Amino acid sequence: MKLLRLLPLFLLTLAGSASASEDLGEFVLHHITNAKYWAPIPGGPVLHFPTWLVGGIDLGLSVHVVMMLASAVLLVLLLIPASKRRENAPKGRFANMIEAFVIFVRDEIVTPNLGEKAGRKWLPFFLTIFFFLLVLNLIGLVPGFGTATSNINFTAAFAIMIFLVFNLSGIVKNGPVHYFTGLIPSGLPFWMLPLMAVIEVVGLFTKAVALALRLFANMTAGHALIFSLLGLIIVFKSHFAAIPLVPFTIFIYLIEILVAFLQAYIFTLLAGLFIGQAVHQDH
Amino acid sequence: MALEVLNLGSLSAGIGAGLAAIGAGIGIGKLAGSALEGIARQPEAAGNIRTTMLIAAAFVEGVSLFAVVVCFLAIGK
Repeated sequence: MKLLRLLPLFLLTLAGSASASEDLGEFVLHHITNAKYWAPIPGGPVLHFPTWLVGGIDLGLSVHVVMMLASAVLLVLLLIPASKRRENAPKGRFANMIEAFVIFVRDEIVTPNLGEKAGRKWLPFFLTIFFFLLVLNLIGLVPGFGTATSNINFTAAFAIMIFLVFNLSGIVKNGPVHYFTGLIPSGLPFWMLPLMAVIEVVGLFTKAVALALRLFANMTAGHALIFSLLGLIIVFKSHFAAIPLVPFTIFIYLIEILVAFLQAYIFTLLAGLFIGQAVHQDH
Repeated sequence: MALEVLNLGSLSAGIGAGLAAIGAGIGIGKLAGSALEGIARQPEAAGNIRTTMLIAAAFVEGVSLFAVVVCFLAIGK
């Protein structure tokens, strides 16, 4: 809580990095989109990332890629010690907090959708999704850092992965023909079947697109809002504009922390729901 | 007086974002109203109701943010 008092200073450093010649749109876009250079401390050292072209696609580092790598390293460093059990219960506050999250994912997401036995095998997958997205969302809230989940390419790749997972697991579990015929609910008049087939197939793609778009839009809109509010201080060109704007920005910032947790949870919940529907088709 | 070039894309982006905000406001407002009523009727269920309200609010917010993303795409066209 003591750190929370430094929050206004953090937020003001974000606004301070705009020069007088930038306009608000450039300022906001510059901080939200991916770039090959990164200056975490405004006015300080600028890191330039290398480009590594493989067949026309740049596989080198950029801000969002560095955030993903940092989040992966952070998760490995934090979660592996937290999962060591000396007795039957985790020791220490941090391990207990992680256990609370794990039990939450298991009891609210995995077990209701996938059952007890299969759920135990699927649990690591859902925990990975949940913690990875959570840490990426939260890192993006640190001033100076970028949010990989506010990049449509990242969320689209994640959604494509979930799309493949739920279709393939449905096909493996139910057989290819039975999976697709099982998409259509039973007990319908025969003239509705073609219509329902089209709707269900389009629905498969819509679910994945909606997953990607929901996470991307929430993260981008939140950060755009924070940067726009702070940029307003520069637009008004007066220090007194900071008096109402900084507290309001802090309020929005706290909502963004809530949204970070919520969006990670909702992505995992919907992934669980879709995989559960594909594996246990009840039509 | 000659009319300057009217950028319909930017105009529609602004109007669209406003309409999306109205939609989100109405949706989340109704949601919060029902949640408050539920908590008033049964205070023991407050925790469950609060969690469900937050989850549903995230979905409603998501739909309105789909519209905002389309508005972002329309700016400048």
